[in-house]
Amino acid sequence: MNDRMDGTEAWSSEEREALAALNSALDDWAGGAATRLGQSEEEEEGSTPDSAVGRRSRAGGGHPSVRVGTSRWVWGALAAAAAGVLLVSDPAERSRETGSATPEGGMDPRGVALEATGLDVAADETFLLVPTRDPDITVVWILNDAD
Amino acid sequence: MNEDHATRHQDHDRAGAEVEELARVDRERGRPSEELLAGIRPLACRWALVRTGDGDMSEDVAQEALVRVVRSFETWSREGRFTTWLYRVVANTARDMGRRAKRETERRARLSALITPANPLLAPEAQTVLRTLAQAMESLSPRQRVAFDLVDLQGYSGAEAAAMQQMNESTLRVHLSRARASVKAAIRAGSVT
Repeated sequence: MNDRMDGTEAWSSEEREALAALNSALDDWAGGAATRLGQSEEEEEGSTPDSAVGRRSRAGGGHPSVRVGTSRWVWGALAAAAAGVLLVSDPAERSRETGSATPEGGMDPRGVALEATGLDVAADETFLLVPTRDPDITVVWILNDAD
Repeated sequence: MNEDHATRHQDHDRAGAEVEELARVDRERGRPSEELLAGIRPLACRWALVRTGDGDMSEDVAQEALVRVVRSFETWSREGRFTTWLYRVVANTARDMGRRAKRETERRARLSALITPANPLLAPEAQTVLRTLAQAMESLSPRQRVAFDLVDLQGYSGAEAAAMQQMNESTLRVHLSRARASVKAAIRAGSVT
């Protein structure tokens, strides 16, 4: 066996053709998937930090469904979503998503759990963690300077 | 080495060299550029698909892997190949997210379903073999599937593929050999359940 472990001489010509087709088909799929991710990024371009919202999909308990962006905020949203954390920055969203976890009732500003999400928090940014009644979801409030 | 395999390897070498160069330039700047991220996105998607065998999950894995690349870019040692490091990021992400996915019962898009219908330009016999190959590939263990994909389909050398998976070359050879045997057996049988 040579350096490439090239066993393809063992394949028939039809099989080699199919191997190449399989490789192309996988590349085609990967290219399409990459384009989908890239398009999501473009949609997010130009958005303000406050609109960068990563939302954990509730449907079927599936994986986080989030929009991909290029700003650090959106990368942070992605990281939070992947960690099972819901990122909310809009006040109206806050009241809908947090339910009884109002600032008066359930705010947890310790930021300890935030560390676990891997969010890259700048010194001049303030994040608040709010547990919800759903144990899988923690709401992260993004409070910018204006707040 | 036959012509198809050599051509695939040349394509992979050319694309890989561009990614390595971009990565080294970006490493000097301290963060990955959009160009680099765009260049590695298809690689991450492909590796995630082969690693998980699951279309839906692989997009989540690729997405999270790219986040980790951005976050951990400075941990890549320039002495090693960037693509080898990238593969480890994708593999670790797939492993981490796979643990979570085990809790799910939702039926997901399987690898073989993603590449059909077959290329209409292929002869009918080759299309049959392609479908069988895809199903056989799906039925392999993750390590066998990855070895088969990296070496026989994408044209990585045994040493490269072994380094990407952090295993020694003889172990890779075993996985590859078993993968080839399974795939050929499936083709001989004409169908895979």
